[in-house]
Amino acid sequence: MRNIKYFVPLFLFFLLLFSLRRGLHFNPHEIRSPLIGKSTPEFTAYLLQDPNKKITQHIFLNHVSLFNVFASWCPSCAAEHSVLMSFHRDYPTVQIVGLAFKDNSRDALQFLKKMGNPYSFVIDDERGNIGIDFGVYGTPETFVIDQRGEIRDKISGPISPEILQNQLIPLIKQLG
Amino acid sequence: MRVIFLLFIFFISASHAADLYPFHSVKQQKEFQTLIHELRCVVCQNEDLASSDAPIANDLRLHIYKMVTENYTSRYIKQYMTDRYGDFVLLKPPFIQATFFLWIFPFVMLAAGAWVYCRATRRPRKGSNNERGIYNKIPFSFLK
Repeated sequence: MRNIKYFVPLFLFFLLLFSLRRGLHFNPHEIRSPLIGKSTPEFTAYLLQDPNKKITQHIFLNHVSLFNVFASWCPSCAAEHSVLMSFHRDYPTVQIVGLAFKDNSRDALQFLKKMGNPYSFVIDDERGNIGIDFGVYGTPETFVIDQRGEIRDKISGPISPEILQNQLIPLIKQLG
Repeated sequence: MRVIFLLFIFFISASHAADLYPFHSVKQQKEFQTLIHELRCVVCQNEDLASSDAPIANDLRLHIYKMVTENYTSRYIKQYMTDRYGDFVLLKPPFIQATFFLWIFPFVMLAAGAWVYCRATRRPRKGSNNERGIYNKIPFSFLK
């Protein structure tokens, strides 16, 4: 058809339409972490429950771990906590390491006492420096770390049962 | 008395910003100011670190302040931030494969718009029966 060129604007319009429609589902707050696929940052930290006990990034070796960044002042963290508790019950071999991010140690301990403690270790990060090393910008955030200490995934925001079923558990199973 | 009071208020607000991040050299202070204006606040994503009130912005400003006073270069500090938060944290995106279209697209659209404009404003040749669109079909005789 000689007049096909008149359909070009219409075609471009539909292209635009499809792109915009797809863009509706993007969430700018879900920034893909540049740490995925890399080893965890090195750190030296102290446990919340035992301020004299020093730990480093080596706690992640030889375990499949969840690294859960939380705080007592964060309402979404309280909301996801029950999901963490039941996950820990169902998958006890997965080590859950907690990071009490920018939290007063007394408040953090009180939070655990009240809501339960699924963590093998809880790191005290009152200043937030360890969080910054992990690229944390909001709470809660959860990292999935494999046996070699490599970060495989990061979930920003609370872990809903859907995220648990569709994203987290398949990955955990894959990691063995 | 009132004059003194007003002067007092005036000078407090003028000195506020300087006291928060004291520097030993003007060069460092400038470097710091440039950096916090070039980095995005990851929480309030349309703001830079300089103007954001988010707690994390405060933490990051302090972090950057410390690094500047410890003589880390701007380049190192920006790399530090992108290593942890990704390229998104730079308000001026880098020119890499992923951002190629982001950078090129405005120029492409400008060129396309110019082309369309040229085509649309070409005057129809008198009496010709070629593919110049609908302009030939408008009877201009009424303008005589």
